[in-house]
Formats: sequence, structure tokens, C-alpha cells
Amino acid sequence: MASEPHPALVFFKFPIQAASLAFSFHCSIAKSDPHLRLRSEDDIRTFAEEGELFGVRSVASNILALCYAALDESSNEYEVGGLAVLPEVRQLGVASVLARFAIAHIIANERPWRSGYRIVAYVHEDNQNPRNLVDRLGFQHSGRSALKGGTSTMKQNPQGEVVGDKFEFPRAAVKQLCNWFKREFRSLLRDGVTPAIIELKPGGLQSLIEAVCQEAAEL
Amino acid sequence: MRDAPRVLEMSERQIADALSVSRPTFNRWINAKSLPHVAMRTPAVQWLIQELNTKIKNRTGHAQGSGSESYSYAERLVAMGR
Repeated sequence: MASEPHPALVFFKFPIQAASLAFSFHCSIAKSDPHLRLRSEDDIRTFAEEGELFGVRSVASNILALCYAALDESSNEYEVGGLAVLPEVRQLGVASVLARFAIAHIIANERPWRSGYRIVAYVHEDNQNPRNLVDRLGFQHSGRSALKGGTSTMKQNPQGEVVGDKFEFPRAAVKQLCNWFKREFRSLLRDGVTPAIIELKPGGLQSLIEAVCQEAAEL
Repeated sequence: MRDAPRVLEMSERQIADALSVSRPTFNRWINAKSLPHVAMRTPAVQWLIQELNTKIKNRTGHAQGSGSESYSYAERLVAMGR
């Protein structure tokens, strides 16, 4: 007998009003995950205020996943980070869609490479789980660095440092992202039955895909 | 785009929210530091026109001018701001 399909999951940009919900969700996962940087409430509120917070919710409006794509002007980097998914939806490819949504959003609205910005992600040196995803998204390893700030709950090395691998999303990977949206993403999650709705005003998902593919065509 | 907050009497953040972009992103657009891809511009401009049209209709209380006149006026204003 076939299992019951999950109801639709909605991928959205967090409104400012939901910042405290986002913070609670972030804490519930980051506090017990030694590989995830615990952000302060101010950080999360700022991400939400600045429109840099992306999430996934159920039809009943429960938050199921979260990530941010935050611009650090001092380093000219958009950091895609804080990717956290509730265990009950972890096998559906939620993280993969959410991260691609966030990256596509940056590309479509910022055209980062024209302004000299990079898109990066950090993965704790001991954290193997996201490496396949990071690779599939098109990121390339670009170095290692000691993380600063908000690392008290993170696993330290014998020298007392929290070290992460740095990955960069190269402009050439936009083609891959375009192809994924056009050929692989059918608004369904990995199980093939759970609808994945990307909520985006005013142009919708189609505009986002067109923009990403325009960027790819310019390569 | 630069005139949108003044003309629509909305904050940059309110407009950014409506366009699903961050406030810094919208700020960079209006200061010509970056621009969205063309595919994202069209719906953004359409939204501006719609908001402006609604504002004009509310101001005139539907009493003056036809809808199409208001619309073309809104389009001209938005075009000036582009």
C-alpha cells in the first residue's frame, strides 16, 4: 500500500513579523548541533529585516527549514548558511531546493558578479553531512578558515578553534542551476509526490528561473 | 524606481517586501549600484504601475478621469523613475 503523500511545502522569504519564530526554530536546531553556528536573536532579526532569511513551512504554517543568504559588505560575500531542516522532512530534498532558491534569489536580484561579490558557504571541518549537497549545488572548495563569533556551541579543534571549509559558488555554476530549475525541478520534492511551492512576489518562480537562465546565457 | 518611495509614500522596506527583495537590495537598485535581471524587472515595474494606479484612483475617488487615463499617467511616472 502506498504511503500517504506529504502535503505541500511552501518555500518563502521570511517576513519581518516572523523573525522570532525563525529564531526559535534556529535555536531548536543549532543549540544541539555542534556544526551549526548559533546566531543571536539580533542576527536572525536583522536577516529577516533585511530580507535575507528563507524558509520552508507546512500548509499548517509550521516552520520546517531555514537558511539565510546574508551579504557581508566587508568581505564582498553573500554567505548562504544556517541551513537547518527538521528531521521529519530530511529525506525529501528540502535543503537542496531551499539552498537553490536562496542562491537563485541572489543571482536574479543582485547579479553579484557584476558588483564584484561572491556567493560562499562554510561547512564545519568535521561536518560531512552537507558536503554532498554543497558539491551538487555547484560550490567549489576555496580554502579553510577559523570561524569567529557565535561559535560557543560549536565543536572546537584541539587548538580551541572552530575551523570551517569555505566553498564558493562560481559564476560558471549558474548554468547548472538553470538546468536544474528547467529540467529537474518539477515543483515536487524528492519523493515525487510532495508539492514544493516557491512563493515569490510579484513575478513568481518563472521570473526567477528566467533570470537565472539569462545569467547563464551571458557566460 | 528611485522616485517610488516618495511617489507611493512607502518606505524602502515596504517596497522591498512587496518586491520580495531585501531593503539593501532595493536601496542598491535605486542608487544604481545594481540592477535585477530583466526577467525580474518587468514584474517589479508592473507592480509599481499597479500600486501607483491604485493610489491615483484612491486620490481621485474614481470621480475624475477614466481608468485608462490614470493608468497611462502611472505608466509615464514609472517610466520617468526608471
